[in-house]
Formats: sequence, C-alpha cells, structure tokens
Amino acid sequence: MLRFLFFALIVHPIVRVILGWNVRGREHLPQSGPAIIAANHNSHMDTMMLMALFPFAVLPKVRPVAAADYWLSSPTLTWFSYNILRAIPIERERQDKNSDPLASSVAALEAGDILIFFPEGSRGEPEQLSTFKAGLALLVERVPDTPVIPIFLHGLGKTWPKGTGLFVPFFCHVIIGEPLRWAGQRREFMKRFKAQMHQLAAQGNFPPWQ
Amino acid sequence: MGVTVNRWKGEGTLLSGMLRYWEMARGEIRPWLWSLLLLLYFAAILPSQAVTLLILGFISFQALKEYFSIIPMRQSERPLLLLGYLSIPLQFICVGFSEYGLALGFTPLYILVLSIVGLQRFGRTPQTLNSILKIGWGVFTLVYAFSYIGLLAQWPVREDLAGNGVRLLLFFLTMIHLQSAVRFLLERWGIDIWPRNVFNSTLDGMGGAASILATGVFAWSVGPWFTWLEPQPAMLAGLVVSTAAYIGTATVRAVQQALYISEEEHLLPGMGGILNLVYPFVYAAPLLFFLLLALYR
Repeated sequence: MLRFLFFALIVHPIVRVILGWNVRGREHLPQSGPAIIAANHNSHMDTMMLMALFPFAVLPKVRPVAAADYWLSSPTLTWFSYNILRAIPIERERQDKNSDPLASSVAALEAGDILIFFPEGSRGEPEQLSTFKAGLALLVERVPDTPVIPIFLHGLGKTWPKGTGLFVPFFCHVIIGEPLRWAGQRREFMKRFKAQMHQLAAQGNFPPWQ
Repeated sequence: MGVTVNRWKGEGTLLSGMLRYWEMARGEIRPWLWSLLLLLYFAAILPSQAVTLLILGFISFQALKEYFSIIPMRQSERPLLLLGYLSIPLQFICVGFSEYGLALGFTPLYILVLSIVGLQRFGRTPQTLNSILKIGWGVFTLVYAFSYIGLLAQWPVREDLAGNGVRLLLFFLTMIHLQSAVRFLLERWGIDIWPRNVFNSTLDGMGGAASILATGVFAWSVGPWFTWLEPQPAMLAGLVVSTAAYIGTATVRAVQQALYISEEEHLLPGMGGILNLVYPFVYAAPLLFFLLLALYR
C-alpha cells in the first residue's frame, strides 16, 4: 500500500508533470515476468522513472537491482529499499569470494519478477554512456529464456546528476528497444546490447551535455 | 517560394487544434496538450484570482521547461536555470498583488540580477553571456510577457472597470484563436503563409495579413458587445493582438528552425508543443495591456 501511494502521489506527479516524459517504443515493455529491463544510469531518478513506466497492476512484480553499499548504507535507505522499492541488493565489491551476488536476482527472475538492471554499475557522467559491465550477461546466462529489454534514458542526468542536490526540471526521454535474447556467448551478447543502446541513443539525436 | 512549416502540427490554439484533431488521431500529438488549452480558458472564467494565476504559472512553467530542454546549455549553468524557474512564482505573486507597477518592474530587474550573478559566478566569457541571454530570453517571454495575461484578467488599472477582467481575457483569447484558425484554414486550403524568411515581406505573407484583418473585423463587431471597449479601440485591439500573435508564432518557428526542431516529424513526439501554444500570447498580452492602459487609464 505504501509503495502504491508513493508512486501514485509522488513519483508519477514528478515524472509526468514536473519533468514530463516522452516514451518511445512502449510496445516493447513486458507486461509480465520474467524479464530484465537494462538501462543506462545517470541519476537516482532513473529507477523511479523506469518503475513508473509500468501500470500499477504490474508494479508489484517490478524490482530494481540496487547497489547494497549505497541503498543499505543507513536504516532509512534500507527501509525505503526493501519496503517501497522492493529492491534486490547486490554487492558491487564482493566481501566473500564464495558468495553469489546474483543469487537473489536469479531467484526473483525464476519467481517471475521483472528486474531493473543498470549494466553500467553506477551513475556515470551525466548524459554519457559508460562501459557496460559483463554482469548483465552473467545474469542472463543463468536464466537464458529471459528477455532483456534495453532502455535508453535521457534528461535525468541533467535534472539530478550524481554529486549534486540541485534538482532542475528538464523534459526527459525514454526510448525502449526490442527485446534481446540470450544466444550462448557472453561477449557476443554484450556486444549486441551495446550496439542496441547506441542505436537507441542515436534515435534521439540529443545535443551533447557538456 | 514559401514553405509551410508544421503545416498540420505547429499550431497550438484551441480552434485550430479542434480542426486538426481528426488529423492527429494517429496519435502523434500529445493529447494532454488539449487539456492545457482547455485549462487556459478554464483559468479565464474562474472566480478565484489565485487559482487563475496558479494555472497561468503552471503553463508558464511547462513552457519554460520545454524551452530549457531544447536550448544548448552547459552542466555548470544548472543553478542559473533553477533561478530562471524561481522567477515564475515570484512574478505571478507580483501579479497577484494587483499592483501592476510591481508586476511590470520585477522580472526585468530579476533578469538584470541574474546576469550579474551569472557573470560573477561562471566567468565573464562569451559562453556565459550567451547562456545568460538564452535564459533571460526564456524568462522574459515565457514568464514575464506571459504573466500579462494575469494582469489582463484582473485589469487593475481603473477601479470603475474592476470585475471586467474575465470578459477582457475571454475576448483576448478568442482573438488569438480566431487569428490562428483563419491562418490554419488558409494553410489547409493550400495558401502557404510562412515565407522562407518569415520576416521578409512577400506575397506568402498575405495569408497572415488576411487573418489579422479578419480578427480586426471580429473585434470591431464583438468587442463593444462583450467588453467595455468602443468599436474603434476594439478594432485597434484586434489588429494589434492578431499582429502580435502572428509575430509570436513566427518567432517560435524561427527559434525552432534555429535549433533544428522546426518539423515535429523529425522529433521524438513530445517536444515543441507547448512553445507553439504559448508564443502567440507572449507579444500580444503585453501589447494589449499597454494599448488599453494608454486608452483607458
């Protein structure tokens, strides 16, 4: 209930009215799991905007994969991550070499959830695509029937980038690509994913944000 | 020869929007823009002045956000953009005080302060000056000039005419829409209105002249019946408002062309709509205000 209220009263008004969004390729969004939403990462608002793409009926199945070192760093953030976002924490720097950082994500996909995954690993430079890490391929390899939906986000890096508390409204763009399927090779999969992300970025033809 | 930019999609006013509604059924135009247009009329007839100003401020915010989203800016200048947004509540609060001297003077002074702060904070370089000019232009037109609609709604200049602002504002909105609708129909009938260089005087501009004259005749016949204006001043108001709306639309198209976003077909759907809606008002509202101030103070 809290989650529903948070999205209905806070996230949707911010995303739709204060910012304004332009969604292209909505037909590629999955309406049921398992599925992986893989997007570029520029802002904390990325997660909210991606979750707001889904209808309220599907929202309970949507779960972001979030960096444990940030989202579990304080009691408030921990409560928010688990109760509002229903996040799946992931260790970016493994403490225990024998632990499996992807185990929770795999279990969630096997339970039919829709995961939000940021293959860049961290919020990079605003409005610039960083290097995509192989974590996405490692995850898909373990649940090979799961479709990966690439999404290119633009605008949130201007609105609320890393390292600033200043929130400046900008119109945002969400460009959703066709689902990718696992074909057996990690390197080849990441190559296809990267090519599609750059193709989606090129569709917008956005001027550089220097 | 002339080109018709955004032939079916560029106009944002109510009547022309209704005419093209069926053309837009393919879904390329944002349906919510319709609600914004209706909101403008709704704001005009509301008994609560505060809510009217709130709605106008909201439309102003949406327009400024769209403008800030399409102009090239630097990351480091984000604080200036935030100060630009801050001008919206401040300006509309000034309008709400019903002291029109305050409303007329505030934003120009604010832009001056913004310029000084910007140059001090981000360096006295051509790029900073360029950014300040762009932000200042946006605030001046989309906040300051647009807020004159609020002043018209109140018509605070003469006490014996108090309470007539609603009629005046409805008259003003109708004139703008009529001018736009006539122009739209001429375009639809194949008469290209916009010359390649919109400010050149060519035969292509005749369509615009016809729409201005039609609005003048409308204002002459309807103005005295609907407002306190006499026939001649009403016609003059009609001519001034429609000319200003014509220039305002030409301006937004020039800005869009300069930024290579003149044709919505080439854009991601979702951009360019609100500026088309707001720009016909931004010259017309202050001009009508000052015309009436000169005639009826």
